[in-house]
Amino acid sequence: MKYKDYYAIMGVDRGASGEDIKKAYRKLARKYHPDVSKEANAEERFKEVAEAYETLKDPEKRAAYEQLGRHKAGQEFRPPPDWGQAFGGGASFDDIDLADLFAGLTGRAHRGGRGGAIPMPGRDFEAAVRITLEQAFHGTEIDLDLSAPEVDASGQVRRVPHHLKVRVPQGVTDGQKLRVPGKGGKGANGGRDGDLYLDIQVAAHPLFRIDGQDLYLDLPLTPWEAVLGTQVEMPTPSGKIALKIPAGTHAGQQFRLAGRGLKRTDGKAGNLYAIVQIAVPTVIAEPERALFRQLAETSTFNPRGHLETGGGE
Amino acid sequence: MMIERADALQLDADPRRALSFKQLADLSGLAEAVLRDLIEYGAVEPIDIAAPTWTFTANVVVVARTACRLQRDFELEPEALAVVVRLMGRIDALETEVRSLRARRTS
Repeated sequence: MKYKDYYAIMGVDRGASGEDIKKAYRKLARKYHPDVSKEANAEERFKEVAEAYETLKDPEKRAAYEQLGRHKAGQEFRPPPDWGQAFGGGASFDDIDLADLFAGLTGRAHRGGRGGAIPMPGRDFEAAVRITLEQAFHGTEIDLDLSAPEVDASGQVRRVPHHLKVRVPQGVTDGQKLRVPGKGGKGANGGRDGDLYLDIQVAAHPLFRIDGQDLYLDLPLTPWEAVLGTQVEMPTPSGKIALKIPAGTHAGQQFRLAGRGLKRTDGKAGNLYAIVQIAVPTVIAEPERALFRQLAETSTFNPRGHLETGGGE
Repeated sequence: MMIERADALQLDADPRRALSFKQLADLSGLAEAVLRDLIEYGAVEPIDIAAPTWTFTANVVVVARTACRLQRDFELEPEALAVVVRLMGRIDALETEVRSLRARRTS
């Protein structure tokens, strides 16, 4: 088992009072709580802080932690021989985490003196899952490796690895939470198993932008394609399609491709919007320049006509 | 190691679409008294507040679970928790709007 220096994690010294520990926790929670923090690695850091606080705030657990002795953070160690007898937690300390050891003390306190086992629901687990837009569009299967403390037949806590293949349905969006029923921690004494919650993050796509179930794509056209109309090939998440561009299309105009966005839970799908950009060549050959000059001399089109009547005197 | 397979459910596609008060408390981990306070302070909204029995859309679970974590981790009183949850709801709505505007804006 690896030693964790709970005092260092909390940034307090070993003689800190309960009030000092509480203050330190609140300060760190404000900084790293994943629901309110934008810090990098906030979730990981908060888990460490919460684990340390869970033990140090409880006088019984803090005393048990002190009895483990002083070690370097990350150093492999075993509790003293009489530790298990004094504080519980079984005879074996293999395959468990320091947090599991102290969680075991909580269980003992809850069970003790009541003359019967109380059903305890399993913990809910949370995992962040990053997928691509294509995976969100088609649905996907993701692999998760979870490690959870479980009580074996002899009553000992062990950390058990689980490999889980989870089918993610079509149409999930960035920031959405999915629930995998019964795949959290095991319930005890007949309590229900916890659930696994997946926090979905859809990676930014080089072409498509996501708004709920709708997708947006910038579609560059040449000036003459926009004026004369044309047919262009454009990508969609399900493959390329031909899009008819009517004559007189202007910059910023949106073409709605109904049902080509992400699938909604009601079975219908969002839309794909192609937003027109008029792309202008920055380098042109002499024959092209001559044609533009000819157009400039011939055309009567004035896009700034409405500016001439407003403002000024 | 055994490989387990499971389906992930979108919360609003959950078969238990309209959740009862008890189901919401169980799924969120909130004590029923705290959940009742959050409803009274307007931080968690039933489908029909005036109905004799409250029911909830499944996506309220996300709000209630966040409330449960915040209460546990910051040791908040229900009144303060309700304020935090409502403010977080406003931040979430604004972030959604920003994402939406960014998606519609040409690059």
